[in-house]
Amino acid sequence: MSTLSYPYTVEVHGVKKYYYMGQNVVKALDGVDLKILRGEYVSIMGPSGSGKTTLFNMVGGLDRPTEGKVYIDEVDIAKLDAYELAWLRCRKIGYIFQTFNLIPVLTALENVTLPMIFAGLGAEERYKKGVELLKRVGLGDRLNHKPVQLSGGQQQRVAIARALANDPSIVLADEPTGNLDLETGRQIIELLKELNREKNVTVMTATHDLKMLDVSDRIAWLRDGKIIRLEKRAEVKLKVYELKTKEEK
Amino acid sequence: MASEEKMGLTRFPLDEAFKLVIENVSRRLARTALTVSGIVLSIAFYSTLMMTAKALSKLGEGGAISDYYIWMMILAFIVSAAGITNSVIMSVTERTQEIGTMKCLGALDIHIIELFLLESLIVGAIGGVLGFIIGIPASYILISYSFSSDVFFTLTIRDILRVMAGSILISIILSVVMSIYPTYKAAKLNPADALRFIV
Repeated sequence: MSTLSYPYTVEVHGVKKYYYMGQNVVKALDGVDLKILRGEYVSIMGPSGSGKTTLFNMVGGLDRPTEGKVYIDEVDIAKLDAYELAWLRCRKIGYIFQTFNLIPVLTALENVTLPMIFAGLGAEERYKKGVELLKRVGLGDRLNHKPVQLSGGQQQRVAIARALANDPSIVLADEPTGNLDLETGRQIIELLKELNREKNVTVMTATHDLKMLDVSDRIAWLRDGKIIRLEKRAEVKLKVYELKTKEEK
Repeated sequence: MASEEKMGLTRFPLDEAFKLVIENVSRRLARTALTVSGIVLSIAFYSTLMMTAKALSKLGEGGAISDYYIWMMILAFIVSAAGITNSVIMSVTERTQEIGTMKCLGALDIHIIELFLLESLIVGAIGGVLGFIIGIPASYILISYSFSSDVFFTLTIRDILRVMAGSILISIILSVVMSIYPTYKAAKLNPADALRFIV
């Protein structure tokens, strides 16, 4: 079976993640099932503490689930050794963080080409591709700026270019607009959506930013480590209680 | 069946790591200077004593340096070793999130170790060279004060080159060996924990 004919980029089957703190068990994820189609834009919505980042870590191969399975392009990531996992993170997954996480001593271009170094690309190809990506995110004139010389929105654009460096199957974004103002956040969301369409790259965002609703194909509402509802954009009727935390409910 | 694509190894060529290290070292000049100065002190002491010992041996009068100086030198090495470990621990802690990010981009544990040990190697080499350079006038003064300046000039270029090689070698070994443990610990962190880490 070829990868292209298989419809799902990500499959999450009954994933649980428990943290043991003395006598207490914290159930960060308590049985999550989710299938994401190739090229789909899925948002994981939920208040802080609902398990968004934990799910992000599980799908991204950054941490191992207590129970359950995660497949990326049909590969069970629990079966991979450290080398294969690094390769998967490098080639198959692009990460975008709330805090941008650029390497501070490197320029915008060097930040974008770093994953290509790990992927083993030659210098010329790296340069060409890096410039192209930075131009695409609107930073063609900022190639040699260091992160401190860039605004938050610009830094996140560099991070998006970096996430796309090795043409991943999926881009994972953990609160990508969390540190940005309203307008900049909106631009970043639009950029993500454009790239999602253009490159047919699957996007999964973990967020509580409601601006993300409009660009999402589907929305998974996460609450206390469980997906309480999974709906298409058109089906979303927002009720005020969605915005409240568990204690207020 | 799993994806048909063959999984390969991620890479981090030494020249690329070297470029990143140079950036790191020069951008954190104050921190680097502090670490280097600790090494310089002990190496200057070492090279002074070695040159003095070589000059005295030419004089043919026993030529040994006293135990007192030997112990001082050992003490200086211990102090600078502690300084190096301390500064590597700080540098690793400060960059834990960066380590997590690099792992997301495809870095293996060994690549993180490569990066930090290369930095220690460079810091050690700089410390060794500077320590040796300071050691030359210091040994001249020590020898002139205790005997006469003529004794200093009995040293051949060969003697001096030997002391230089010894200084740089010891300095690099000291710096790299003391960095291994903190670097290994940082590289072993899983990316999720490293990313969550807040200084």
